[in-house]
Amino acid sequence: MNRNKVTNGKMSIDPPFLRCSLAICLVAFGCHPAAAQQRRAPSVPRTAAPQENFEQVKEKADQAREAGDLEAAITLYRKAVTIRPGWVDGWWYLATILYDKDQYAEAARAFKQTVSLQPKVGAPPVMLGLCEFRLGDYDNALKHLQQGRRLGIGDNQELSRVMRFHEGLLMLVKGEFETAQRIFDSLSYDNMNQEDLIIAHGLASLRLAMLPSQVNKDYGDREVIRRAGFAQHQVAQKNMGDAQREYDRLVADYPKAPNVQYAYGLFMSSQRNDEGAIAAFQREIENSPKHALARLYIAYIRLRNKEAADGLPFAQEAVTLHPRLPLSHYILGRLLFETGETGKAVEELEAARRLAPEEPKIHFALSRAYIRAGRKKEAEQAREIFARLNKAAEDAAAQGVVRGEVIEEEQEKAKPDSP
Amino acid sequence: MKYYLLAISIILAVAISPRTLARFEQSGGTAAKPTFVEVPSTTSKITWVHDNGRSDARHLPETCGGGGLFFDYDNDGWMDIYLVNSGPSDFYKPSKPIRNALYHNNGDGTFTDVTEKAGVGCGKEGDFGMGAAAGDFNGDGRQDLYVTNYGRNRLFVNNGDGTFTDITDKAGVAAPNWSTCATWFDYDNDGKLDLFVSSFVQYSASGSVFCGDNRLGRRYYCIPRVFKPRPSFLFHNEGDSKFTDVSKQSGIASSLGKSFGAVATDLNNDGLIDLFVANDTLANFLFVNKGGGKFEEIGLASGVGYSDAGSPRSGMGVDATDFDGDGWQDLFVANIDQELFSLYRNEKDLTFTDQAGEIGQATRLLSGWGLKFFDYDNDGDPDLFLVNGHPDDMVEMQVSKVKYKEPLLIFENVDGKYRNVSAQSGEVFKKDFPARGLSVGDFDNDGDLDVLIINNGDAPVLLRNEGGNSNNWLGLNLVATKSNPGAIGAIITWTAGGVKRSRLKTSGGGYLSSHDPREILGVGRAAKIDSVEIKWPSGKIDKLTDLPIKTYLKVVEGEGVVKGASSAAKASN
Repeated sequence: MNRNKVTNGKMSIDPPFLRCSLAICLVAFGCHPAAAQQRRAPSVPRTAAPQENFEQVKEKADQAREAGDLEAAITLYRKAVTIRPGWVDGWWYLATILYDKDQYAEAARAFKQTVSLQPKVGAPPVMLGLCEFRLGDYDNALKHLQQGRRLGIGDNQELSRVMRFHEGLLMLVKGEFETAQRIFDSLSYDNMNQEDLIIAHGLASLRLAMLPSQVNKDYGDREVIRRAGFAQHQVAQKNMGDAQREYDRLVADYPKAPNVQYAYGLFMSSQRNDEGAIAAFQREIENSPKHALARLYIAYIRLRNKEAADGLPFAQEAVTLHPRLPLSHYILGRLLFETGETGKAVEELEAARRLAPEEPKIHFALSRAYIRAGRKKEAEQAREIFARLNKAAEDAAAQGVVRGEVIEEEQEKAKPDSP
Repeated sequence: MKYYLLAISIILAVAISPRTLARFEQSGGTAAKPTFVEVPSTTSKITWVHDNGRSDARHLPETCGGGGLFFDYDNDGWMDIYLVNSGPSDFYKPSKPIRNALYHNNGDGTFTDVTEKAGVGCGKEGDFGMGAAAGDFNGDGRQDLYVTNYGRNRLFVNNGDGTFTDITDKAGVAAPNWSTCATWFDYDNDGKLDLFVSSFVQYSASGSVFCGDNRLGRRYYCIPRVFKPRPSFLFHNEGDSKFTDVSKQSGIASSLGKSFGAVATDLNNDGLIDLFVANDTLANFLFVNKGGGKFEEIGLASGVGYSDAGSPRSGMGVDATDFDGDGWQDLFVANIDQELFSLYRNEKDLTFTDQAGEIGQATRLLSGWGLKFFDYDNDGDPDLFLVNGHPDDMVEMQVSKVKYKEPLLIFENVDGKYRNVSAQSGEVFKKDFPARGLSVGDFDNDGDLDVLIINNGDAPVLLRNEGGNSNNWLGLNLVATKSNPGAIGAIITWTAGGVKRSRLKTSGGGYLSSHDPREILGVGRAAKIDSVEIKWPSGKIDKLTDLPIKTYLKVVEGEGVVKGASSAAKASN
């Protein structure tokens, strides 16, 4: 097998992420389905096909693969899994070779077989997700990447990084910029510094739902995206002096570019510079008069600093501009609560709950508002829902589920090495 | 001009209630406020320095110590000092011996190191010290000592001759792994002091996690979220120097925490002592004492578990007091920077509302550890002292506005609102410290409470309260006969100048430290104290009249003031 060919030009990320053959790499790191099967799964049921015929084909297929004759290997593995559809290794080798040869549709079908035969192993759904990403089937790609992450892929750092990067890209495409940002941050923190990652950072920072592959050398805004990405990359690598300098230069060179001031405001806020952050958000509002998030962030800073009355107008404008955003109603509800307008607070928090019924913090805020409104039974219900959802969120976080929020209410502190 | 003065008079007459006016008059109106003055080690002779064992590997216990306390181990009427150091552990092998220190108060402003004779230096494997709590667990009238460690805790019984004996194994209170704060209190009102011990995270050198900069190979201290929580301990005092671990049957162990500060107080006025416990990156615990040896954790329902946003915070120091004088104990918790500290007003139904006010703003960029409510100016209401410091020594590389060493803060209670008076309270408030433990006690017996600060990896700071005794006061040394020896839970009510005040005697509070067990009753400018009533935990009530001022009195449960048995107080103002 031509190991160097395996991923070249396929991942929208620099080859070092997957420098070795996926098949070899996954076997070496204990992600080989058969290895996992020996550890966890019962034996795969076999068909009634003639034993010697299957063994002959299997042997020839393995020989072809080891000799690098991938076309012959594909043909033989196809034949072998037709004879014995429960042969996990056959499906796995077929799928990875097809992936190597850019035949993503058929590779995806073969990975699906592997997944169905070994539903508790993480690598096959990750590979299936990568195929689906290539095929533009983003919803399924995300579903399978997350499934693979939950199941675990052992110590395979290379595959882990590819998986996380693509999960981040899919979040980017979905417009979930905060979650994408957190994933890219974790990759930068792990000392990744490929150009595609820098561009991905920039897209997330400037809230552009695009893939790095779309930001080619001729793309008009490539430079501002790259500069914003580089600044955020410095933040993620904890080079705060460099980050400050890069952000200062970014806003000096692109003061009017959409979301540049917003990104700068977020950085200033992370540095506990609330007044600097508010000034940046206000500049963003001047640049983009309909910017709801910049208003919301100002409102949140005022809320956090017990200056609720000062935050109210910004939250009210955000709700007007973005009535479908649960966060708008949530922040406004909390501000109203703090300013003593309990009835209106309940209304806004209930609106937030309708839009995001699974968000624990909304239920927490509602429980407080109900108590003050004298609605004890509803308060108790809201508190119980909060406890349940909060526990689920904590459990998910413990399983490595990354969930970025527009407004991070918990402090970011030193984290462990592994994500 | 006359009309102008008349208008002012009318406004004052309307706006100031008789109670406020009485307090204003008692406090001496515009009299100069007390200040805190550093006592240099050349004067105090306290030369001990805390060693946090800081390593390149950045082990989390390095960030947390140390603690210390004022206590009178030899019953000579002068507050001695005990200081807790780190020590040998599975991740730290000190190059030279490290030990805790016991300093005897010589009564003249100097202290003498008596650690060796006393036998409380620790310093052996498993003695990576955190804090300590003094309490007379065996009711012999002498203060015993419990020391918490990353490793294995120690209980020292006071022999009464200046020495202590380690009876940890016999008592069964080692509580291994990583303990932080300890609190003596009598949860079942059997007249003996039981022991609550906060457990922090599951930690070991071999299980250490890399948190840091992979590129540079530089490590930071991990956020405690990375580590697993553990149950805290509750030990029931069986008498005869034996304790039973009742953590499970009491319900305490059902709540896994990452616990630091703990305070024991009665939050629902039912005569049973409850516990408020701070957790780091988990919701705080409020253990309500249900009687029958059972506790119920109601942090979420009570409103003290999470921030206003429904997030767990990094709780560290805690305390309790009745700051608004409504007869119900309120709570305080200090958190890490940006999380704001909380002052929880008791709504009298086991729910609490955060009323931090000015404190919240002043502490936005600070991380709080040791803290204590006490009446620093003897005007009769509890003020608040806070010591701070960020746990991560490299925080300034990450966040420009947050510092590793942070300033001290003091807030004066003005009619139930806290006002930041740090700037007027002494030069020491202009300095920054890596502070952790805080103990409060009147080490010079002059009738105002002084402060001991234990700094992480640095020398402790002893602060003398200058001018707190310009107001009148009466100090009480409560000696229980039927109630628990600490008189924890006793309610002291005193009347002076037409103002009636009360105080519940709590236990614990702050961080890794305990405090002067005496109670100083401030009365402002009132020339005399009309009456004092002590309701002991046993239910017995002692009523005291014809009381002197500016002195300490010994009050024995059921007997009242013991004539000629006042402490060594000199009222040296």
